Amino acid sequence: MLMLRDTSIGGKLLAIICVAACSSAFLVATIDQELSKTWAGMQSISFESRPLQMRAWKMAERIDMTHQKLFRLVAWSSTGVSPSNLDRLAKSLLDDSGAVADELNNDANWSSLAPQERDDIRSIKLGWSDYSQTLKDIVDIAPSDPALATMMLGGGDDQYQAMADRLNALNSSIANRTDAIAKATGRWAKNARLTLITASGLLGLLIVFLSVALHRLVLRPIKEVTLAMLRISAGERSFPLPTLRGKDEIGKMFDAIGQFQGKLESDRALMQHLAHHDSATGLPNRMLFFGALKDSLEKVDCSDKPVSVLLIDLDGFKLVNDSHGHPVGDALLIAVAQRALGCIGDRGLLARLGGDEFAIVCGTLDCGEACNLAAELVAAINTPFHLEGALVVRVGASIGIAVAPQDSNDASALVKMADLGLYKAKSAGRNTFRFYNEQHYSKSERLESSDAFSSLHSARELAVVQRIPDVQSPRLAEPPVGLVPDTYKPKVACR
Amino acid sequence: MRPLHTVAIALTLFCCSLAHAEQRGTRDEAVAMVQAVQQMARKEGLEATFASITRQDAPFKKKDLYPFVYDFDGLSVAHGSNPKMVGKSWMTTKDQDGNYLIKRMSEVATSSDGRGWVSYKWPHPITHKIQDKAAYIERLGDRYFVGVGVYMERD
Repeated sequence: MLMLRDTSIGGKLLAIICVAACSSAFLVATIDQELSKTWAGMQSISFESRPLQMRAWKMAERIDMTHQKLFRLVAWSSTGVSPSNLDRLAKSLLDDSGAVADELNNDANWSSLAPQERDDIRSIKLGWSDYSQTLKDIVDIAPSDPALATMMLGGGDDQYQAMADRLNALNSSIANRTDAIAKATGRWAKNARLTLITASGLLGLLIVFLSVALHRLVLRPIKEVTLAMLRISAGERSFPLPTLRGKDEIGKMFDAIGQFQGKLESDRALMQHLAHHDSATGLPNRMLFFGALKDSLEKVDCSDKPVSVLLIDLDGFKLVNDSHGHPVGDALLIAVAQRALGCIGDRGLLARLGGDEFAIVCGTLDCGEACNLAAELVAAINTPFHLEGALVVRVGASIGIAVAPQDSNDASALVKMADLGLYKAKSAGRNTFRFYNEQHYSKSERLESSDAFSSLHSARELAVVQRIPDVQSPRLAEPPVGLVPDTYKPKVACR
Repeated sequence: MRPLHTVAIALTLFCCSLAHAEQRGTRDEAVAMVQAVQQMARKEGLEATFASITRQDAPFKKKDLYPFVYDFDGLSVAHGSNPKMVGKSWMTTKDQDGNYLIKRMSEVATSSDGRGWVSYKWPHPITHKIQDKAAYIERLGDRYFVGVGVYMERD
């Protein structure tokens, strides 16, 4: 049985069916054998319980023997047998005759007769009384007058024949009755056996039917759903669960598994979203940004459009956050994100990299268009924000831009370069934008390209130095008007 | 020697058969014996007559003739040859030809005539051989009949 533990339900079922079939076959064979024994027993009982038939048959035999003995007596008397022998024979004949009479007249012997048979026995009794008288007369006459005894034997023989006819009728009548009982017994046994065979056959069919039904209704669906779940676990998330028409237990289980799968899928989507998006603004986070950037960089060779990365840093956000609290800071971030999204439209993907740092990856803009976008963004973000509680805040945006494949084809290098551009913008007095490589933008006249390539290290130090007053000076939250270069008026008005 | 012997034996056999023939009663003698029985019955009564017959008294023993008396049911009441027959019923007795002779005698006796001849086969009282016999039957009293039979010559 231990071996069966890991066998499939179908296998277990098969084993059970085999055991059941074997035992039921054994049972049927046993019952059949018992039935045969019973039949034989009943037949022998019916034979043994034929005392009436036996009695009538013995009676006929005795009467026959008596009659034969009477013939012998007459024959002996005419052939001159010694008187003593004749006497002995006569005596035994008279004894036999008396015994037959006793047997015949014992009514207990003939109690279970049918009406016609009762008539027969009555007639036989009468016949016997006449015959036995003739017999006595013959016994009396035979020694002295054998010829006369022979003549008398003729009459006795008539009487005997009449009796024998009635006895035969009685015997066959009784035999017919007992045979009918025996035949009925045989028929019953045959029917019982037939019923047994039919019942066991039907039982077998039922077992087969049940097995097939169990297989179709339970085992196969379970197998299918198991397979589907294995496929889903292996990564084929869209692998369809088998559908069932019915709403039985298995159907409900399928529904539940379907719901479970749906819940898993939605949870997975939520987790995916949480993993790739910023919880405060709902914008894509650094991870998703880099993913999108890498995707775009892969396609950059095939496309005539460059990929530009815009790194945005809010000017004066820290001041707002410190003076009004995180909730206001968060609200400002959300407002900035919404306004930036409105500006960008379908031109690029906006992401929040952390703190007050945003980034955009654009795959469809040339340098001029990127420049326009940056200018629009600077203008848009610099417009005062009306937050809850009638709070009006104004921040600025410094934007650094790096362009692939001109600057680099590597995502992190590109972002670093954009960062350098950002520093340049900050160095240039904030609330403006700068390209990492000013040459990309031919109209740019703010910075010489040689400046940009001075030293990465010194540029960063400059940025740090310059950032400190940003934090400390509230005035810097409102950058002086006119920081936006006149030459960079946005071509498209922000919505 | 031989022819003489043969003649002697043949002569002896002839004498014997002649003597036998002389022993055989005739039909008239049979009728006469029946009349004798009737007469005695009238004179001395039935019972005495029956007893006399069964005792084989002289008047009822002539040659091979003897009287017998049965009632109408075939019960023998007197027999001049075999006393053992008396007291037995003979209604069912038949001869070799299937002839219920006593029954027929009874029928003759109970007919309107009350008398007549009946032929049948019966053992001879002396030889105990079965022979053809014809008996003269006459009613006797209210419920009996008496008969005397003559044995026929054998061919």
